[in-house]
Amino acid sequence: MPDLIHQPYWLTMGPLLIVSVTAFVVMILEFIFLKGPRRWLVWPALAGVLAALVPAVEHLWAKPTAALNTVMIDGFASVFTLLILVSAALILLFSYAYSAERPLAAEHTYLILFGVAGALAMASALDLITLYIGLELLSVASYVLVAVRRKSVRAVEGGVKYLIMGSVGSAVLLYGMSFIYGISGTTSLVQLGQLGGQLYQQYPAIVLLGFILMLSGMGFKLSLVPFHMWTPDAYDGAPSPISSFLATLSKVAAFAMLLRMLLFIFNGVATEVFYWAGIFAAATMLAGNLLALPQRNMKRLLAFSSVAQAGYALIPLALIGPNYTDWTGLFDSLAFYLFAYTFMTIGAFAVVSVVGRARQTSTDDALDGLYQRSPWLAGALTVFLLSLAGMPLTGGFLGKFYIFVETIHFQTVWLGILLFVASIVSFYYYLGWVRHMFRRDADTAAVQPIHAGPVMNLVVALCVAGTLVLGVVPAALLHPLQWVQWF
Amino acid sequence: MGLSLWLPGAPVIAALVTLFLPTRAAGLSRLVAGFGFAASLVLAVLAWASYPGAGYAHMNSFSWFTLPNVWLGHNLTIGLSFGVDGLSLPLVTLTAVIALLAVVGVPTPAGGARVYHFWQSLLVAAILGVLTALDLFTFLVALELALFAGFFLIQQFGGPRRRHAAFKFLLYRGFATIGVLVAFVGLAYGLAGLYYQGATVASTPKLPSSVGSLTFSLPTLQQDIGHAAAVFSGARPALFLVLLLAVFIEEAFVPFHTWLPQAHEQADTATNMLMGGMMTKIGAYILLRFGVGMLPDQVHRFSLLLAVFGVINILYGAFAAWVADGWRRLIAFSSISHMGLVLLGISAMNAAGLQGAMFMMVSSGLLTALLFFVSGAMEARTGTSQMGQLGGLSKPMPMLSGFLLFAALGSLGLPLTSGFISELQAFLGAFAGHPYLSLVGALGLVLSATYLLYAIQKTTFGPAVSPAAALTDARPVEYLPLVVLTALVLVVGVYPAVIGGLFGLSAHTLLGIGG
Repeated sequence: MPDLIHQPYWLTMGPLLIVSVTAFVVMILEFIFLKGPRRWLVWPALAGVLAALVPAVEHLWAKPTAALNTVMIDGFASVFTLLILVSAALILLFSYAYSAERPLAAEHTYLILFGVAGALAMASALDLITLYIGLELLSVASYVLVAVRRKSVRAVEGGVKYLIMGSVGSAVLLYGMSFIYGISGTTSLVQLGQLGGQLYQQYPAIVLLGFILMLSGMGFKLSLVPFHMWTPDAYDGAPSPISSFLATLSKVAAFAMLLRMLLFIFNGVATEVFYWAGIFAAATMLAGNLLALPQRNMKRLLAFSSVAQAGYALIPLALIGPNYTDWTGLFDSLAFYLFAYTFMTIGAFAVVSVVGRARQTSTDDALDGLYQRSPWLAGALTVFLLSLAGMPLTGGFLGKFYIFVETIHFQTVWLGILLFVASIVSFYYYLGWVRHMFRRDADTAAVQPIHAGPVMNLVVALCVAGTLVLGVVPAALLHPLQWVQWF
Repeated sequence: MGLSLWLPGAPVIAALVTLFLPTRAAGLSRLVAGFGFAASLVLAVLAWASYPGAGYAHMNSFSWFTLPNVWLGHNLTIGLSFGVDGLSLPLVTLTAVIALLAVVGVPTPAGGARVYHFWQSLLVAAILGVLTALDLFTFLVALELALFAGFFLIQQFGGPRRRHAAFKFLLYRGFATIGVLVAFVGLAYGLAGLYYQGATVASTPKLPSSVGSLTFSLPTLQQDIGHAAAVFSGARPALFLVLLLAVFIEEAFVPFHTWLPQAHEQADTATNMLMGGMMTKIGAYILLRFGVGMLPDQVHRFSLLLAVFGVINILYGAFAAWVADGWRRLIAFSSISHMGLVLLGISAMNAAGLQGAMFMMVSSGLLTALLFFVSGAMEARTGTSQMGQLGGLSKPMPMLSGFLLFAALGSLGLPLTSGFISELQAFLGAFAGHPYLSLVGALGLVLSATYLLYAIQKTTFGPAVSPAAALTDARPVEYLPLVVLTALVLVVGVYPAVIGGLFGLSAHTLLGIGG
């Protein structure tokens, strides 16, 4: 009998397998304990995610290895796996704390885990089919997560919009993939990568069409402008932990998939096609920030903010191609930005959910006088907002600065300048919130203090720590990144 | 070895300490902030006393982090570096003096002493950081911190229209920061050789070994630029113009000036002293350090542009100050007028002009702070700074009125005050460079005499508008800023060599680089 246990591919697929198995276990546990509270299901789920971190960290500096020609563990996959697992852990904690006051559907725990499994597949798959299955796993889990509160009109509206737009996105993506498959006859990224510029020489229009369709299809998932319309509704309709799931984990996975797919298929023709991403990045940065300006609803504003942030993070992708062939700096800057973005976004959603609950409103009036109600939450949210806006000594600033340096490096300065111009527009709404928080209520006696539970405080504290560490001692992340062998 | 780190470091520590003070202890946070500024002042004086006479001294350099793969596979090591030289020492000292006097002499505005002194300490630290930074990234971080700290001070502790003023401040200066950022990173890459790859190798002069590796360290860059003047010639004018645009916004030069009067109208007195005293000098400092210091050929090239804008600002500032209806607006525009003269002095690119510009920065800093302090003290008593509602203040508050008159006389350039020596020097230099323009600019002197004395007359003389009985003269603690600032104005005016030595040396150093 062949040795079933000691096969290298188990190890290679470690994180993916651990998370998938945990998801099934949690699902079965949920069926078994049908009666009674099931909040505790978060703990086994969290244990699974943390266990998956062990092989992920181990892989970080390992030599790239492929398993069964479908899953690849290289530096790229490891870095994104790490980020996905970290954000999954934060989101699980967040949802646990959230459900203390507002019950979440018991299914949400394993749905999140299935989404994480899909995300991990998107970060490490080497085949268009596998990538697409990962994407659909994540997407279907997300649609349900948004709409699972059936009785809430906003949740259903957000869910349906997300479902429709997401399906259109998937269709567009598949359409693009089909062109590439049609002219190459393979779905394997490795083989597509070996073809290099050949396809482009033969069928330039088809390759370009494929590129733009795939970018646009993923653009729905990343809520790039003009495919962003579902974003505010879905974020607003979903419970806050799920909104933060969509904003961070789901986007990180989409970035990973987009980058790997495009890099492997189009690396030979990078000069000709990748600048198209720059147009998306510019439109997304500007439109996201401008649309956020009049927004009073906190979660909708964070939705537009996440649109704009995706635009910033798309810049490194747009720089691929002209002038230099060493793109590792671009991957470093993208990874750094996404790490910072994950911490500050989850943190902001966490504080907003506590405050919105306590004040019974979803507009930014809820933030009035927050400093008096809870200096800790006000201080933490200030850190997140300043980081999103890009104040020095926070991760957000350094991430933007790194991307900016890369734009100069790759002689595409206009994108870098636009990045900062767009951030200045964003100052207005991010700091507008800060203004609300530090506004003095006339009637000090009537101020009700706001308390977040211990777990929520832990989530916020972890996010504050992440945001500040990345800003003050960025070497903590930059140094490991420097040794990553990306592909 | 170096103590420069602690110049901005002391107020940063003070800011962090205020965060952990009990909310109720309003006096305590003020005390902590004061200690921080005093520590900076002591260190600045020490640094000055032991300054060796040339180059950067008292340096602290740490490598902060490394951005991997940002130039042809090279890494970029970002440092946290501080140091002082002849140009920055007087400005650093001045900042510490003004900060200390502001925190001692001006009562904390209502609405959260802890938060106020946190941002105040951070603002002072940021300004000191800008002046002492020897690494481009350190510089940018400090500049952005100053931006955010200033925003929060105006936005939370300002007058009734503070929100509008604060966001305007943020947006304008934010754009200026982008300009500085672009110019800096462009400069670093330009020197690293990115932009002369296409140039023929034969025409490239022999370069020191550091050229060809990307660095943000200011001393290294300055060394390289001396050798590499001929390289990356194409990008230089663009970089300079971007930098110049940033400087114009930072300095609130026409047509980017509207944020400054509004900010001054809404901010509290202590913030006004810091903002008018030092923050609006940062732009000129950038122009001297990075324009004259690193792109001197471009300053020569655009000299006429600088001179024209200098004159426009001298005159526009003066006219706008003339029609200003309140002291805050008047001081804001008079400071713009001063800085116009700085620009005119720099445009001449000769020793006298540069030295005059540096003098003017110090003098304008001292006088603007003094004017804001006195007018703020008067406003605290009468409840208004509108000249139409003031009058006859010399009777109930003779001392404050006297100091106001002195500050005005200094500001219009009375001999024996710092204003006189600064204007004299700057115009001496400017006449050598652009005689006709300078002649037009000199009109500003006449105008400043008119508007200042006119405003003084309306405020301190004439019939008393407000009931005089309730008004009190300066309190003992307020004499400290009044006397110290006045004394400094006189010291610089009577014995200019006290800073002239350092400034003269810096001017020659800067020009030496320019060749």
